[in-house]
Amino acid sequence: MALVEVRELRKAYRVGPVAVEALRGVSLDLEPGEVVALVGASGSGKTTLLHLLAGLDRPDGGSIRFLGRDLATMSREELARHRREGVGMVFQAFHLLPTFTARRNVEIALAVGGVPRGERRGRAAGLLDAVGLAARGDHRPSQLSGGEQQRVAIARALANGPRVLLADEPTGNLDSRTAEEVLSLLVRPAREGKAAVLVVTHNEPLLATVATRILRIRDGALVGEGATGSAAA
Amino acid sequence: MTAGDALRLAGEGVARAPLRAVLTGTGIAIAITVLVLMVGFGAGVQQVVNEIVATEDTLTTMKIFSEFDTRWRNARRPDSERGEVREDETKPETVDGVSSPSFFGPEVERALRALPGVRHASLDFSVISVMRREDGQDRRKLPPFERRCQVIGLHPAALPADAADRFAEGGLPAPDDVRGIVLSQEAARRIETGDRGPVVGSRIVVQRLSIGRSDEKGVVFTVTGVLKPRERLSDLASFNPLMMGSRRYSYVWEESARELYRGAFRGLTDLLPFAELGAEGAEIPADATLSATVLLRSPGDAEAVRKKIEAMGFRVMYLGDLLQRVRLIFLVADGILAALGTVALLVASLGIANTLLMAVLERTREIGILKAIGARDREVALVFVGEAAFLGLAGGVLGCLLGWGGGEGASAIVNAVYIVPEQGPDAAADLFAMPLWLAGGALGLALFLSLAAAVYPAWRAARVDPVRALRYE
Repeated sequence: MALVEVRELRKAYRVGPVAVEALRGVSLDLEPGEVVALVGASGSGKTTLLHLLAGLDRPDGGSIRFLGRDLATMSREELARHRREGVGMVFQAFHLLPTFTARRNVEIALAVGGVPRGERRGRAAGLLDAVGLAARGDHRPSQLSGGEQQRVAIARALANGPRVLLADEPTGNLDSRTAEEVLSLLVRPAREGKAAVLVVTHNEPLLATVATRILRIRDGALVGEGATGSAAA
Repeated sequence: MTAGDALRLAGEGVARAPLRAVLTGTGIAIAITVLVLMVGFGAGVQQVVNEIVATEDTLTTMKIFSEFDTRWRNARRPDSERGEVREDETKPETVDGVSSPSFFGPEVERALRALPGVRHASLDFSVISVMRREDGQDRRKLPPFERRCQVIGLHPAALPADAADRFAEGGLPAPDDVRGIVLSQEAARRIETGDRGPVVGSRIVVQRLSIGRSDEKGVVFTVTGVLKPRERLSDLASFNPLMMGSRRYSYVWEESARELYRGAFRGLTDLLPFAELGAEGAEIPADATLSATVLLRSPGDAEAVRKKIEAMGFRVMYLGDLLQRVRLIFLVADGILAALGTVALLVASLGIANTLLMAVLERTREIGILKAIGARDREVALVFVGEAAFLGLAGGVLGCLLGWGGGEGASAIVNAVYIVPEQGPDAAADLFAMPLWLAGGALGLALFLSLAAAVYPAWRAARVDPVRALRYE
């Protein structure tokens, strides 16, 4: 059984009187240790798929099985647990809490995950250290560069040991050198065999160096899949 | 996330919009201030009334009026105000050997004393007199009406246990001293001698009032004691709380009072009933009275004793009844005032609801982030409920402090401007009270209504769609 099994996933949005199909029968599996790149143009359904995998939204049809359990049958409370413990999310816009320091942004994820108060500070420091921000813990997001903010977001996403790391255009706002650094941090849990990583991107060449698989999506449907140089290696 | 984490987030949320928090909290504070002031003044005045009326003395004392007195007074009242005894009512001929007489004498006194629950009963020998010093050394040469004083008969059995503590100086006359007299502060002040010696031990002439030129020389008494002033607004007679007509009163042993009473001018209230009785052809003994005082063993005996006495055809005046009515009136008044304050608080709580809805709107993206990292609906809701609790409690505490300060200040002003100049420093009263139940109730109400106001905003926050929230700008 795969870590994540997606079958015939469908999702449509209404834009005024018109129904727009964002996903049309998407199926895929994710296994631990995999780094999967999801590549497609804007509006192709990449982010919608990511939101459905994260349990932030519900599909109109098909199924997403996480460790064998269908997300469609989960209650709001169970979906919150899925987001808390099952997946970690990294966004293009970072989505850090602007009034919190870097350390507290990580600590809040630990708090949500039920980590006792006494352990949070040390664990947050360890996570920030792992992403190279040990000295920047007391800075607010506005005092950090884009790359640093994304590292904080990665530390936050990893805080509760997710089985799947979902990243939505994580390098979209970063220069190429910073993007490479961030990517290397993102794929680390997969390299260590702890999690599967699904990265949504426009930047296929950048991902090609680190991804084990590349999925191409167009108009809400997967149109191609291929191994990469990384997988071959 | 623990409740502590949610409350910390709530506190930080409040701190991020300090002006809005202050304005919203001020709304609550003003409402609580109004509530505390209104209910506090009600409670304060009630407390003052209780302190004056609800004493062991007042609740164990009954004044009894004769059937004739009641009929006489009823005949002069509108129907709606008449007492229970009506002229057309048929009274039993005799009850416990007493034949419902029009006036009181030794037979009634004995019957009253024999009732279960009665500690003592005496006929009211109360005489209006004029006092002066025998040596003519009164410091102020006051006209007779300024030296008027009520002389009340006192029976040794009617003395309270703490009688000796009720004296400012001196004490009671010796049991066999029929020419000893005890004066109230106000009565003593009328016969002061300045630096020519103390009042206690001085000899005074007590002259009964009469119409026209009096040939009576009066009776000489020696002052054995001066009573302490009674506390607060009313100067109740020290040994008989129902003798509260005058601040100038004195006590002599009952035997001496009876002697003064015989044939005395009894004051306008009793003069006319007695005159009409005489006109009806009644034989009225010189020491007949229209009222008597009954002392109960305990306040718990009041109901049984009252029933017995009313069955005799007499009317009972008992301050316990008045107190119950006053308590009911205060209860209703306090309820109305509290309701008005609660309306103010309801309006203020709408401010909280508005503030929280604004906060939910402003922090939609943050809510989305919290949900994206796995926060439960109830944890998100708790953050906003916590903010409401902070605002409500802070406003409540501030309102209680302002209400307390304002109430005490207003009470001090009323005392300084009105009560003390009119009635003297002893009459100063704390007209505002803030008992624990009021502070706790006001805080509880502020908290409850704030939390109630938070229900909808918190629910909105909890139901925020994380996908939309993350896109929210």
